[in-house]
Amino acid sequence: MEKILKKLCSVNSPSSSEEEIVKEIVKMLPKSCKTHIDNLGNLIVFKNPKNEEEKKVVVTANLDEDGLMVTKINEDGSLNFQPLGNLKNSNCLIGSVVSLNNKLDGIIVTKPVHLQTTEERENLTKFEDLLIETGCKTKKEAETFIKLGDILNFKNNFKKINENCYKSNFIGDMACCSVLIKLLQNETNFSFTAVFIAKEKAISNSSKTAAYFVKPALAITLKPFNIIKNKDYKLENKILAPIYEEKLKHNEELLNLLEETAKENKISLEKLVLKNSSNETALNIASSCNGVKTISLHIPYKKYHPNATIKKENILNMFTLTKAFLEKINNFNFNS
Amino acid sequence: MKTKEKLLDLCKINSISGDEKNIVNQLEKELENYSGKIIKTQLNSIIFKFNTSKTKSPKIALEAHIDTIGFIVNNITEEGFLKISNLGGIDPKVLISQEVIVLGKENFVGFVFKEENDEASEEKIKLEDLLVDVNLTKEEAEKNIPIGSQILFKFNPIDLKNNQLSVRFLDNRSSVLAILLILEKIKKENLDVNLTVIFSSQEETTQGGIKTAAYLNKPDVAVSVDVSFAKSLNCKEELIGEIGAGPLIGISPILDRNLSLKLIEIAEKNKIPHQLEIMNGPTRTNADELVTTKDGVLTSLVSIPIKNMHTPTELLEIKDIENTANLIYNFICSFKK
Repeated sequence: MEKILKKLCSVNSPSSSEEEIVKEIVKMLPKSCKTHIDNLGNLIVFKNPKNEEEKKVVVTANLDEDGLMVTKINEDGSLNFQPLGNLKNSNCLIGSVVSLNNKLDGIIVTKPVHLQTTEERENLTKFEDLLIETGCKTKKEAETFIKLGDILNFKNNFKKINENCYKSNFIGDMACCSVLIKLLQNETNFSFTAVFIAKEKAISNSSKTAAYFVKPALAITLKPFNIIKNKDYKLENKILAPIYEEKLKHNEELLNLLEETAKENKISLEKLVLKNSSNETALNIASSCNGVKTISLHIPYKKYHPNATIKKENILNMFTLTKAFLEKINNFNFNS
Repeated sequence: MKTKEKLLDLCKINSISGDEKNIVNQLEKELENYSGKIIKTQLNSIIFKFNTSKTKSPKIALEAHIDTIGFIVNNITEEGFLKISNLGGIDPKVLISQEVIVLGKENFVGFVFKEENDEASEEKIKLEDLLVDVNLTKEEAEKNIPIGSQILFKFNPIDLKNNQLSVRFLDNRSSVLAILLILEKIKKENLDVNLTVIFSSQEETTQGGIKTAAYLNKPDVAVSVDVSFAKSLNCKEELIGEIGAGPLIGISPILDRNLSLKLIEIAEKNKIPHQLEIMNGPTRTNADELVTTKDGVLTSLVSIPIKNMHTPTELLEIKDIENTANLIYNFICSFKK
């Protein structure tokens, strides 16, 4: 699992530029898996595909990371940018290293504290008040490397902090992708469809086309859950199963089955109501075709944006639970 | 060794204001290459006096501070997070999301964050609201990270185009390097000068390092070497320099005007790129303290332009260090009798 995670974290996948990570994932899959990449860049993988009539189980994870989009190239060679994805706090960008897919590195520059006015010192910096410096000194020089609309990624930095903790930018989603890959690699005879969702951060509705293509009966969305944001530090060593996420109530029967599976596998599972966090992927899939039953598994992690840490044990638990659950629902009556 | 590699070696050393022993040890080793006398002061500054045969020229001192900004642990919360105070001027906004090194009983990787409030007033960021997560429980943290432990930005050098470099602690390790380059040249040219080098501690906090070192060894003429602001977004252009355009020669009421003019003249004569830094009051560097030592020292200030000062990604152009060294070397030569 660590090897997969490390590899995924080493590939840049800023939202809407996921081609490279898709290629890497495909390389890791066993030959028996049938793959399809749809028009939005979602990667769909069928494990042990059965006949068309059979009801399909879908497991999803998000492929993409937050990125920055170049909005202006200044006369002095510096770049203006806007965030792509969920970045709300501009200050966390200072000190970050960005790159155009490792071809051109840049750092984010701000006004030094010594020169700030009292007002500037007390308030958050706006995205407009930050610049990217690449060392280029003129607009002409910068344009030989970069053009308007180019998407910059945060430079990756996977590191094992201690025996039970990994660190990398956006490691939450990459951990979910690793679980999904490991499930696909696993030599079991249950069948399911894995959907690696592209562009989720930038447009949030890209899962619609994948759901339309697969037409599942049941969907499990794997998602990271930032315990720093929610101050839920006591959830740090559990796998979370939301009963309700903004606008969406998950399937009760499946949740009970999940709870039972967790107990059998001695995995600490916490059912909870997340009233302020939405799960666009589950929402989109739930209302696709003639309706899909959903549940969601959340893995706790800590996100400092873009840096993030995750516990190894949680990743292994998420894998064990998802695998056991998939085995269990192979015998589940979907029409009930 | 090339300028960049040497600079990185200096920036790699952890030595925050008030605890300069690591950098002092390194510099002592460097200074052993030259013939002279090393004196360490009570406050961990180093004074290096060149051996000289003639003493007719005025006593010249070059000065650069060797400490860096950092933080100190002042409390540990119930959840095992560290609360911090700053050592040196730091914009707390810059700290959010930073990866830092915590020097406890062993080194720990930490991440700075701010807990979100439900209230709308959360827009304002204060240092006391920030926490450092070291992935330890309260008990583990208390055992391994005593209150008073130091915290530093991580070392993460990035090469940019046009031989620009971004790394922590360019303030003021780049000036330290400029002085080392000058020493190398003096040795190579066998220059006989009445020169003292002061590597001073505690600039970012108390400026006690230069006060005491200059008291102990008062020069007639001094050049303080530091970094200063280079042009970036929203800064008044006339007050700051440009990266890559050479050292900034300081003009300020506290500095000796004749020395500033002499530096300009030498730069022009030797075709060394240079710029002027116009300050209408104190310089906010060690020069301000150096000037008032005992009955006063004729002081000048030469600064290397950097961007993003006091962040983990300070940025400069390597050749500005070399030009700074070149300018000051020629300045020293001009005193040769």
